Amino acid sequence: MVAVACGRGTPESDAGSGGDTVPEAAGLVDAPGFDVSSGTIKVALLTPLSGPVQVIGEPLLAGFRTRFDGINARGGIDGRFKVEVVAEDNQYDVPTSVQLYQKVKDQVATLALVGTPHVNAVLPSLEQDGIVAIPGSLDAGWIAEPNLLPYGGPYQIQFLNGAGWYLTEGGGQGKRICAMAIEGPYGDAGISGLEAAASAEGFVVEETVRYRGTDTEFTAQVGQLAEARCDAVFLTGLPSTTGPILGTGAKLEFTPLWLGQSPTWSTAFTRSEELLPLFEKNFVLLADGPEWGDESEPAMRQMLADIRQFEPDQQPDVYFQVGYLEAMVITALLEKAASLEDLSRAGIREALRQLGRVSYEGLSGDWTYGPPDQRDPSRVTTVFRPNASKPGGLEAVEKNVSTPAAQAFQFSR
Amino acid sequence: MSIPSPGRRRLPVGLALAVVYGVIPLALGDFGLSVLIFAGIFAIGAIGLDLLVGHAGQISLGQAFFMAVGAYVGVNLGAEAGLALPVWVVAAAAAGGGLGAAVGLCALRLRGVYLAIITVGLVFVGLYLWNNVPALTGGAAGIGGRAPAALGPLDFNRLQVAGQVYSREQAWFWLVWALVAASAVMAANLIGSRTGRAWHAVRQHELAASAIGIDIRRAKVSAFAVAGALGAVAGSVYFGYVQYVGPDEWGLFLSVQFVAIVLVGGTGRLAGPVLGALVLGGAPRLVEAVSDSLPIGGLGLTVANLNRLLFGLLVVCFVALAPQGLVGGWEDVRRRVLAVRRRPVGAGEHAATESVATGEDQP
Repeated sequence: MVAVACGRGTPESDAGSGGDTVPEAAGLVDAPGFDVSSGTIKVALLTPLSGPVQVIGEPLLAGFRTRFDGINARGGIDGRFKVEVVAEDNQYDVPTSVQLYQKVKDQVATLALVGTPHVNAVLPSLEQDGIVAIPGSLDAGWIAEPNLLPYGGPYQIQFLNGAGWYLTEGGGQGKRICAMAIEGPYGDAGISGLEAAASAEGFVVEETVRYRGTDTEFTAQVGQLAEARCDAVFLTGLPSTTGPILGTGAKLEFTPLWLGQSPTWSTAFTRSEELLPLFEKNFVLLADGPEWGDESEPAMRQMLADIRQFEPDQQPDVYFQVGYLEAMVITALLEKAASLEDLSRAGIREALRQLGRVSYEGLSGDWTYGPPDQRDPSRVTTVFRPNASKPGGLEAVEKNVSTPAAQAFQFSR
Repeated sequence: MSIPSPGRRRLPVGLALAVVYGVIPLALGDFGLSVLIFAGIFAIGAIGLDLLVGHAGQISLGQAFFMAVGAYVGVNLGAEAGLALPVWVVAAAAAGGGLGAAVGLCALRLRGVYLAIITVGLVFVGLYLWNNVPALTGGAAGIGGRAPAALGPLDFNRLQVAGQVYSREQAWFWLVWALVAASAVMAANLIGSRTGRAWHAVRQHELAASAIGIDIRRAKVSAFAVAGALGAVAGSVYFGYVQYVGPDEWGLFLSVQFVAIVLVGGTGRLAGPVLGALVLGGAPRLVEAVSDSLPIGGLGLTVANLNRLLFGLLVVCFVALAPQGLVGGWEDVRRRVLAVRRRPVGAGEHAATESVATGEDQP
């Protein structure tokens, strides 16, 4: 008797991931993470706040909170609803992410989570529960997922544009181009982007080496690249491995131009007397958006204003910018759902379906959303050079690079 | 005062556990259930490891390898081939058991730290394989999918009974803890069997066991096989629940966690690994829940770092101060309390000591 009364599964008709019928505009009602009486929408961020990836998670959370502090101060979502952030430390551990998702799923309207394996582990539950989430990585695979709301230029685009820039502006014509990539889907994405660039631009990837994220010793891989006499190495990895890789190269007197994907960078490099000269001379970063402090971009202007008001001690940090951007993505989604007068899960899924073109006002390239087959991701990349005199330690060498090869690149759906 | 027989004492305990099993999914939210599901999965693997370590006296740091084997059997036979739940779980057990037996054969001449090193090597061999056989494992990217989880009319991926729909966490709690119970019953039967007695003899004194005609080779290989089989069952269920596995999940730290579970719960005791899995699986979430009232910020500690510290301290404390683990400690306390209660009025210390020494109240 008790058992019959206590089931709490989602009936088939209430969940699902796509192909929903348009919900009737029956007016706003309470829904998971949305309380009509207080006018509050709760959103969650599952991010590593401890362990080796903490260096990404903490500034990312600060950026996320700061954006919503600003939104709330300006009247809230659709000028009506305040946003409350629920932050959880997923420790970059898959079982912890799965448990935390279960913890927050009924408390929040939507969530963002950091780490490709973690998104993969939670994805089936998102589909079953009918929740839309923001994946905190630039994996192109997310484009095909109806319950995910990706942002930014995918890793393939970063290398396509980076290769185009190197061959034209970077003096790379006729030079030997190689790749060094972390094992996993993130590394695979980088390599597929570079191979697509090679095919479109007519060059050959002379050598490709892989390494594990937990590796601390890179002599074998870097030695292999040195032996192949690489002039430029397209690097896919995490901040924890970038320094040791460049350092190993320097020890072996191998100093090519390293072109790193966005997650290879940490502002901490500019504070290292040993690493800084190496980075300033031999490294360029391929990432989204403007350099820190470039107030010609409206979103950067707003972000700096929000920092002054809510987080005055915040130092320039690229992951703060990413967190702020993720909050902008959620804002766009919730604004749409509010305009449809439906902040239920079905309403938020419908909002994603109808979202269309979203401008991130220069903080990242624009996206077209909708059903997976109609989505078109950002195809722009900014080329940065480390420069300790700049806030955030990065100077934009060329903004919004978008080569014909990047524009024509087809993502598998 | 008449003393109830062990069988009569176990009946109310069994009934109470059955009630708890039925009621917990109705009383707890999906978050709490998810924590208990992971604890249950770890308990299955730890029961297997305890048979090897606590009963047969062998050392193994390779349980992560067997868990991975089971997970990838779940991927390929469950999610990819669409075979039924009993098939992929039993196949995982068979694969883990077979590989466990092979490892046992290799380990026949080794003891102590050498045996530990061999099993550590197994974890690293596994990591290489999981990364480099993408056809079976998805490679470094990992692999996802939904394995069928139906037993007759009960589909644990979407449980519906008498028109009532249950959440996936409710359903998987029932499934996982039923498997924990089945593993425990199987372990209990094995311990009481000729094989179990052979394991105990090998643990006590290998030479003496050999002298009285026990087949040492068979005892060791069977212990490794059972440990491998239960580790693989845990892995297959892990995949069935999470629906995604990547190679980074099967590192050495996972094996260390299994050893810690067995040590904290109590080696050589059936309830030990289950209790250890509940404590080590649940404690971090408990610490998180009360973290607001803990003055850890002033110490420069995050909740996760505090949990890591507590994990290390728990292991060190149990090994150094209470090697019999939680269950052993509880049994000890219970024996002492019963001894005091039974001591006749006016009787001296000698009676209590005698009662403890004879162990007449041990289950």
